Amino acid sequence: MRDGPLNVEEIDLTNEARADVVIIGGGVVGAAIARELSRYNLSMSYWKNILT
Amino acid sequence: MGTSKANSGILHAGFDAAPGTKKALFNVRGNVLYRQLEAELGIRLKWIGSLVVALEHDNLRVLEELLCRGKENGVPRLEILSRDGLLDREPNLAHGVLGALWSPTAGIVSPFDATLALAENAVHNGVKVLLEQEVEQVLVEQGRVAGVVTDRGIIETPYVINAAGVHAGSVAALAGDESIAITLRKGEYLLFDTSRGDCVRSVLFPTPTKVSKGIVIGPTVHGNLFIGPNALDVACPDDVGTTAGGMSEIIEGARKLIPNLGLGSVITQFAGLRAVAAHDDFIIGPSSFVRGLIHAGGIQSPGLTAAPAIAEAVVEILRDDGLSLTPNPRFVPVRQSRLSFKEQNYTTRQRSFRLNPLHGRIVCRCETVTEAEIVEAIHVPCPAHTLDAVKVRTRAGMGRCQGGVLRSARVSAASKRVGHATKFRTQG
Repeated sequence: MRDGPLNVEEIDLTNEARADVVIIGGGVVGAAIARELSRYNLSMSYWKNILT
Repeated sequence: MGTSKANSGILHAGFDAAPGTKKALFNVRGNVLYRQLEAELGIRLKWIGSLVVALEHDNLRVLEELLCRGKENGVPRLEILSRDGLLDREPNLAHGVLGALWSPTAGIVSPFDATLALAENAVHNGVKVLLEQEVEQVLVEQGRVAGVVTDRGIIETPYVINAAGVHAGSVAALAGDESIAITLRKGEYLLFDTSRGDCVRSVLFPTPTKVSKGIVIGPTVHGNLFIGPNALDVACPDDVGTTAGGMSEIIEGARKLIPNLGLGSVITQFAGLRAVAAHDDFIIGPSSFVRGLIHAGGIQSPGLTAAPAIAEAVVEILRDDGLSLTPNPRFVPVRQSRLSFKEQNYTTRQRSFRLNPLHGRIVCRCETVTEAEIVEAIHVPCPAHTLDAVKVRTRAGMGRCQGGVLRSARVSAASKRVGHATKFRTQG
């Protein structure tokens, strides 16, 4: 399960990071997939450019 | 957000797509799921229904086809209204109308609000966000996804979900999958101020053609009126400029339905791109060339409606591929929704001001947005880093003057106060 607080952070990728799933795309489909995956005990999920 | 920030904001009932297609399946399921999302996430929706209007006798046959198709797709409560019933419901319609297909399960939603609500809840439940990063490469080892290289580093991962919208073909190609061909189709819109929001009660479609649902007229959840979109294939994913020809096209199309539609209340025009797949259906499924690469592409209309159902399908694809999916015991489905200062009553506004005196500074007069709301937008789980992002979260600059008297200095001051260098980049 995840460690640390459940809030947004800009992940420092100067070192390699690891995720169970990476979502590329921050539109409504990417956000819906991210939310659906958050029902499960995955170590991490990401997506990019959620902001305009 | 690309396509998600410039579309019609319609939750389609699901009668339009051909039975058996992914569009039909996910449209109808997504429409149902939004009712759950409305309750859980506080997304602002209005279930106002839609009408497909027949203006010519040939159109009546199409309405019957759409009715049959909708029933086959599982859309409930469809019915064809006579001319009299239609004009009782929509008195501003052209008096030459012949009838309409009534879909009471259609609705409207703010696409910004829906996207941000889903994203905020995902973040609340542990999803991490990479902001403003470019994907440079998808690493593949022995035919399987191994990671993603961005301009800031490497993420090792066995699974990549390609939900990159108009860039989905490029992302697939980065992994060596050249099978995703996306056509970019631009749609232009005109937005009217709230004085015209009651011009129609429901979303009005003309009888559709093969390439488009036609020029739509509908209210927005914020009380505006919009008309559009047209459909123009373009080559560049940055081509979201509007054109005089496009404006003429959508005005002419809208006036076929509402002949007395004046333009004095137009407050802005904009365009968005749809990602159209070669076979005219969503591309949802694992790559045939790279294991661990899952496509969710070609998401044109009704993509906004279908999104929650597409998400369910993607999870099942991952499960079928062997990803261990044990329930997250700390998953919280509910998002605490916030009433904007504009939506608050006098007593609540007084309480807000006592809690944060920055509510006493109005940054946007048209939408009654306070400096406190700007600061909050920069602090929320998916924080705003650009002026456009502040706009979609707070509606600052989205009212009648379109930011003409927006207190940009105060937005800037607020952003500096919380340590962000907000960039004043606006959409073209």
